[in-house]
Amino acid sequence: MTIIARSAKVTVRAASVSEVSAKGGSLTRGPSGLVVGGGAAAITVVVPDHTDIVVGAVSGKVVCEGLLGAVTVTASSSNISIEMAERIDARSASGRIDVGTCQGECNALSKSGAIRIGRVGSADVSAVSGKVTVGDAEHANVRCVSGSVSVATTSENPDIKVRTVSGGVEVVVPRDASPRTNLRAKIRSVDCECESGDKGFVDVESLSGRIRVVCAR
Amino acid sequence: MREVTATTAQPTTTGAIAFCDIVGFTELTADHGDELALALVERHETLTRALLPGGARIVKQLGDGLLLFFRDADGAVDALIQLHDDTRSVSVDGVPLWVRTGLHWGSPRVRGDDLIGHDVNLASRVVALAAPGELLVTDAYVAACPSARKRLVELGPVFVKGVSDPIGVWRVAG
Repeated sequence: MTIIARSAKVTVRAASVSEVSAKGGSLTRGPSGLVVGGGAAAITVVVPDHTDIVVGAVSGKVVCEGLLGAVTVTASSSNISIEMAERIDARSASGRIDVGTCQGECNALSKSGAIRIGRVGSADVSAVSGKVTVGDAEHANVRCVSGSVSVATTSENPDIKVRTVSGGVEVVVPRDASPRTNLRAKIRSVDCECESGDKGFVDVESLSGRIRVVCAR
Repeated sequence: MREVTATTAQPTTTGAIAFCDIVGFTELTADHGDELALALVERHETLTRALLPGGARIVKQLGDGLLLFFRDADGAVDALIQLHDDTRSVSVDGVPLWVRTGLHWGSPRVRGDDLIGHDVNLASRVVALAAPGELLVTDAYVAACPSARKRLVELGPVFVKGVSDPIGVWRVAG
């Protein structure tokens, strides 16, 4: 289903219901499914668990609660918060992006807003000046110009790739991890606590950011 | 105040309009200086120029970006995918050349060598939603090039600055 909103707060709640209901917006059936359209008033949409949703918004806030299917949110400046989904593509030019859990692939993009991702299967994150935090990912690919990047993994076979220009990078791996590493900082220091081995790959390059790979305590 | 009316209609041309810019250019210039910025821009232009198919051209340079025009819809997406592949591992003095592109189909006005109009504005707005290495296309482009649909992932209706109605945007899958 598709939700189109301008400046209002949009709340999408996944629940054990069989039908979609919407408060504050018009609910119509378009060629590609249900469409909720809203203006300046807050919209609350309740959908069955695992529903795929597409949200287009300008400003305000987009909040997704409960377990959704594939979630796509594109906003000009809205803050985006997604509690739990099967797949995510979240973009905001300047808003903050907050993801709790994503079972599959999670793409997140914000130019200047912070991006915080909890537990994901795979994260692909792009930022310019916002801070990026990934709580737990087996696969992560992060590009950031000047914001700092922190990526943690509990995987014994992680695949972590981070590129920054001036942002510092910290990667946290399990205590006994021994991944293959490529750690290159042209100007600042590189510190690596873990043994280098062949279980997974931690690949970090930065021009002037400090790089640290630490083992979880 | 003297009022001026728009009387002479400029000719139009129909084709694919692309904005291709360097991600984080303002921050890169502030942190690393104008010399590096210039080197990135020149590298970007050289790589782009080498890939343009017949009937395509660089319309103009806009600071950190290029405005491109393609007569052929298929040729546009193929060239831009190739450009993104080619720039993926390019860096200048250790700074990666991260480019992103917005692609639209329309009929802008022709003013000398320049292109002007709503369709040009749309292409420039769409690029702001793209990640490094990503190519986004509009509904209008998809309508002009239905064969591209098999490699597209829908992002849905999005609002872009200065345009009241949402437009459909798609991501070209890598």
